[in-house]
Amino acid sequence: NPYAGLVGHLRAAWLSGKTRPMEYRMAQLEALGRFLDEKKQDILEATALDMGKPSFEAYFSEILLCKNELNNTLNNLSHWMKDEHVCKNLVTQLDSAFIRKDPYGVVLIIAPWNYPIHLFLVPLIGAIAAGNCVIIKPSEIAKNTEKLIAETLPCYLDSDCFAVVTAGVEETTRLLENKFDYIFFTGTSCSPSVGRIVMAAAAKHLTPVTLELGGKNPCYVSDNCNVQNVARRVAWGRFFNAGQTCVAPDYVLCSLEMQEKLLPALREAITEFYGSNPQESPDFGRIVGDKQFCRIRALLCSGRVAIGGQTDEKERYIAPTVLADVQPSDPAMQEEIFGPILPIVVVANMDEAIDFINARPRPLVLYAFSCDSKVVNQVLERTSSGGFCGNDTLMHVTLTSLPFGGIGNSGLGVYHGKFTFDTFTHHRGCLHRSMGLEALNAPRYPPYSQQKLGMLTAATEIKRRGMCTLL
Amino acid sequence: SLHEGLVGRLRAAWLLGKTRPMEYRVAQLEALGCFLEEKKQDILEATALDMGKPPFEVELSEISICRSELNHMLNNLGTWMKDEHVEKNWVRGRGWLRDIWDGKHMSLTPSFTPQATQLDSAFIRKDPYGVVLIIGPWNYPINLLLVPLMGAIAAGNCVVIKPSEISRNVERLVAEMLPRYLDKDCFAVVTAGVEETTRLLENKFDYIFFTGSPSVGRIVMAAAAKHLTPVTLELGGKNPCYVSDNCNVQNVARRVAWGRFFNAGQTCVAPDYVLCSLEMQEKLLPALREAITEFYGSNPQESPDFARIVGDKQFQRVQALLSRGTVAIGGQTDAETRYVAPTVLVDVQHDDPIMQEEIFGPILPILTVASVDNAIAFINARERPLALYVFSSCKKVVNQVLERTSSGGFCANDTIMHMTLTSLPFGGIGQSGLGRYHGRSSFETFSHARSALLRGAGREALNTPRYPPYAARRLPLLRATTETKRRATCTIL
Repeated sequence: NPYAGLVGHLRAAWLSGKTRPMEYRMAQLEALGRFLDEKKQDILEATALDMGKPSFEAYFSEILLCKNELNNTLNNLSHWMKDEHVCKNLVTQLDSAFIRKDPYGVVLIIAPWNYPIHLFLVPLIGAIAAGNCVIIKPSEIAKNTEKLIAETLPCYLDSDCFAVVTAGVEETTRLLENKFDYIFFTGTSCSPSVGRIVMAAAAKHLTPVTLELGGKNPCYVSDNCNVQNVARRVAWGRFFNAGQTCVAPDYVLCSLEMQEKLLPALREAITEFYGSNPQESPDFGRIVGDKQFCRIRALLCSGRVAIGGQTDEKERYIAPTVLADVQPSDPAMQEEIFGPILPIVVVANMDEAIDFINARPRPLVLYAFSCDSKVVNQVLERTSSGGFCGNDTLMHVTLTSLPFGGIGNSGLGVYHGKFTFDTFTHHRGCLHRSMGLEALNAPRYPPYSQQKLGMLTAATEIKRRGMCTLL
Repeated sequence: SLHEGLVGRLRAAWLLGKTRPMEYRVAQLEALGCFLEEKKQDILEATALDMGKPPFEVELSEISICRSELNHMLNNLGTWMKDEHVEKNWVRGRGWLRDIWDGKHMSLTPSFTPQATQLDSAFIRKDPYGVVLIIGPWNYPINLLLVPLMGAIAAGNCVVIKPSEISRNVERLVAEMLPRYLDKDCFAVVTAGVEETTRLLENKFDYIFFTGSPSVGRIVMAAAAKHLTPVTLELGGKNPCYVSDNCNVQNVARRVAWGRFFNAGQTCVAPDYVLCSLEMQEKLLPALREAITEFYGSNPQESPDFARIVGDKQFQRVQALLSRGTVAIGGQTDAETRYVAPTVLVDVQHDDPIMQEEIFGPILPILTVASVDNAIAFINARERPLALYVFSSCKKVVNQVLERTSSGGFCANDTIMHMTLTSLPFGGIGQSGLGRYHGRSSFETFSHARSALLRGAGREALNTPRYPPYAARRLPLLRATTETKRRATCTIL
């Protein structure tokens, strides 16, 4: 077991209580802030090398959103850490009853390549805030970012309690043989199957997990909408990071008439964003690797190419592409696209769209566009998904106050903001009673009697609150 | 796979949305209340047959506690079901915001920039998971089945209920009677032994709630992993009970004896073993003897207030634990009635059989330690327990043990009582389990917290800062509208 020593080292540090004091956690979090500030340029360069990420996108999604999470945590940590006192019944009225926020211990965070800083850093913030020791496993696919993290992050964090491990598929499997106290896994495109492997490994040690997976995020566009706005918002969500976003709108569902209106609007939005030749735009990313490029390119033979469709293997460039008249049996509808291709599947009406969505695995996010809030609410009511956004894409993940996570094949567990702290915290129910006041306990001891039972239930049982019906 | 038709039927009912309206859920919960009321006598009889449970214990730990959880849920369901509106991005601070972006530009941005999401609706929607499986154990066969069930129903799920086959009489009662109270389209009871339960677990469930042993917990989680099904596992372990030298020995003896011998020790949160100094052991023994006599008389086998072991296999297992150590109190057994006397063992070594597994019987071993530090080290060298008990009149000692250990739950100066408060989350950590329930935590366990952001179809001007072509001038505006600032920290010198 090549990692046993490292895990043991971290576990010893945790048992020593080093990560418990608030001052320690704040210091480590502030060091993370300095990492983001001082390594900002390196992060922009590494992500540009890895997937042609435009600096603006990298700054927004990898630096700014992380700083938000960091500041939110630093602003609130002392409050989150406090014991939460709870309601008591008659028998425990004089006692102290509270929820203690305990760390789990040694946590493993496995991150993907598409937002390689954000998707390890935001969980890491919560894990540190909650008082854990952490092993960070960045993705080997984003090679330059992996190298940056492995070489520079340890300079900022306490090496007794935090470590970066670089590992491919083989070594990650070996790493997972160790006993961790929590495993946080974010996966991409083929993630449901890898998620299963992680959970199965966790099951051997009864380790709790959060799995942030993926799926095909449907985007329903009703006939009643502002087509130009819809086109911009959907195009932005689809083509950001060249489509390599777990919450990107994966496919559009709309009527035939709406498809005919959307196509020119999307064409206009794409030109507005990336110019007449997106390959020359500095604001459009590239596919992370050759394997992924080939996979996505193969999806182009679905429906008909209405916009884009050009590819350049050398640059791993795939043009912002819209496919029209796509059939459910087409290749683009068989897997999460994770690339800059937007298929449009025609449905007759909203009911058909909802049935289409409900016949498929539950997505990480569901989008619905309509000027009629009733329509948006109907879609929300009659479907199930990790998250939901009406009349926009991606934006719900920028609010630290909203829990982010999947359901079914798209994942289990939630995080962001306080939810990250709660994810990595064991809520320990505590009751501190008096050594005396034994008379309060007398009714519960044998020998049992009906009278004692009456006293106990009167003192402890919760009554149904009276319901008045005003006629 | 086995029961595939049943699971499919329940899933169809769930997809129809039958369990969503609050009125429906309230009706099903009230029906559960009727079950508890109308079948109380049957429950008392069945549990008496299964493990000689005294009616008082059943009333308290199976009926009353379920009623409390039920009433608490009915009192609060409306509130819990509501969408939870959340805080949206907002700009803090006044004056100019200095921004340095990519080292080349320093641009100034005024602080009165519009909010990115202030005009939108952002909330958490509480969605059911779908079809839930609840597997109950035999020791509190009504409580540990019904309390999770209430949470699952309250959260809007359909449920497959699998009572324990070991508490045979209660299993039969639940299988025959419960379906008469609940909507058959959405709720079903399945009786199954080990084999069939393994087959049942091959189906895809949307949530699995399991109460039982850690070894079976692993099997359940492994089965859940195949379908990426979230789980709550309420398992067990050896719950340590540290008794400091500074305490009221008689009170301690009563509270520990009560916790250990309730339900003949077959309680997941019972104090499993005592850690104390040699002097304290010498004081505790007569105090425990006195408490046991006070509770059960001079011959507990004749007391109507002391239960029996649930089955022959379990009886033999518990009896075998008496092979090492010295019996200080009790020690008598009777295989025919599956009676094991309230027993206290001393001279116990850490490698004796009784220290190798959760006792789950009316035997209390005492191990001596030199100090509270030694006790803490002993506890931390072992698997993290479901409950941890400390007895001390000194608050500092209590807090030290709490701070320096890790456990599912914690109770100072008493046993079991922390589990009776609906407001405290109940669950394990490490080998003792994952997840929590009781009270609102039950509702939340079976709910998916679905984030929802509803934006306006217009007001496109607010979005333009984020669209390509990206430009230096746009980032400060976007940043100002979405950024969370660090609150200033003042140190008063």
